[in-house]
Amino acid sequence: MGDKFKAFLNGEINFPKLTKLVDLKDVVLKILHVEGDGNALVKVDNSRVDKSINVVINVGSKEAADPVLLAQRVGELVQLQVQELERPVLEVEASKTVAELESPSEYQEQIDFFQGKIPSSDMLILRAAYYLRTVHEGGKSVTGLKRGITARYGTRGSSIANLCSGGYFETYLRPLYENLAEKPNFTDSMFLDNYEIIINNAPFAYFVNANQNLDELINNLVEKIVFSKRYGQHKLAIHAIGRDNIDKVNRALEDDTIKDLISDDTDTNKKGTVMTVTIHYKS
Amino acid sequence: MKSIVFEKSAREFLLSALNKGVDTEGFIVDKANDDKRVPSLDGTYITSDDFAGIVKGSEIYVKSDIVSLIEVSDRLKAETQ
Repeated sequence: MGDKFKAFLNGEINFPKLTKLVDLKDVVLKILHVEGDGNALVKVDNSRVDKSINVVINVGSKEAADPVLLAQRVGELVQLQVQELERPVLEVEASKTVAELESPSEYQEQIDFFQGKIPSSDMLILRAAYYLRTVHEGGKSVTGLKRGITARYGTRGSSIANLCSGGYFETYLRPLYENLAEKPNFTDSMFLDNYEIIINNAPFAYFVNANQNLDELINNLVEKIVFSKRYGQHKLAIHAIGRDNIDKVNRALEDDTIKDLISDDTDTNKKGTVMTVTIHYKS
Repeated sequence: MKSIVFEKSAREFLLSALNKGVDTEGFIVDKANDDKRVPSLDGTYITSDDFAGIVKGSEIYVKSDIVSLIEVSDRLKAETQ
C-alpha cells in the first residue's frame, strides 16, 4: 500500500486510481512535515491495533519527486475526503478532542438540565466549560481551553467557565431554578433575571485572575464585598488556582482594609494547587 | 479513508496544498479568490495559527478553540443520525 501512495504522490498513478486510494476504509492517514535525511515519504503501519492501517505522509521528505506536485496531490486527497466523503480533516489534537466530545459528557445530566433554560449561546459556553472542568479534574492544564472560550465570548465566557468550574451551576443555579419553578406564578424570566445577575456579577464568588497583582486583588475584593452585601450576601467564596494565586489570596486576607470588612471565621479548603476560601462579612 | 489528520508541522503545507495563503496579519486567504480572507465556522476570519482543520461545505475552516470543536462534533453527530 505504501508503494501505491508513494506512486500517487509522485505522479506515477493518476486521478482515476485516486478514488481507489480514498476508498480504503480502514486507512487513517496522517500528514506531517519533518525535514532531514532518511525520512520516508510514506510509512505504513499494518499492525491493525484498532482495525486501522496507519499511513503517514511526510511532506518534508526528500523522496518527493516534485514539491509542487506533492502539494497538489495532498490537496486532492484532502478535498476528496472533505467534499465527497464528507468527513472533516483535522489537526491531530483537535481530532482527539472532537472524538471525546462525540461521547456524552460525565456532566451530561447537568448540561441537559440547563438546555432550554438558559440562552442557547450560553449552552455552547456551558458545554465547553464542563469539558474544561473534566480536563482540569483529569489533572491537565486548561489554560488554552479557557483562553479559547474567553477569546470568543469575552467576560461572559470567562464568567460561565469560572462558575461552572466552581460547581455553581449544580450547587446554586440549578437549585435556584428548581425553587423558583415550584412557585405558582413562575415564568422563565424569573429565573433568567437572576441568572443574568449571577453570570454578570456572581455576588457570592470571586475568581482570582493570574494577571492581577496584589493591590489590584485587594481593591477588587473590597469592591466585590461591598457589591455582594448589596445583594444580601453574607459571605464570599474566593477561588484561586495555582500557587501564585493562592499566595496572593493569603496575603490579601492579611491586608487591614480586608480585615476590617470580614469576621475571623474564614473557611479554607485547599486541594493541591486549588484553593477556595470562604470569608464571612462583619455585620 | 477512515480519517485524515495532520500534525501542526504540516499546517502551512496543507494550506498551500489547498491554494490558501496567509496575509500580513496572519489571516488565511484564498489565493483563487483575490486573496480574500476565508471565514471559519462562526463566520469570523481565521489565522493560520488558529487553523485546526476543514469540514464539508464550501470549504469551512475550523478554529482550534473548544467551542469550535464542539460545533464540529455536533455537525458529525447530526450527520450520523
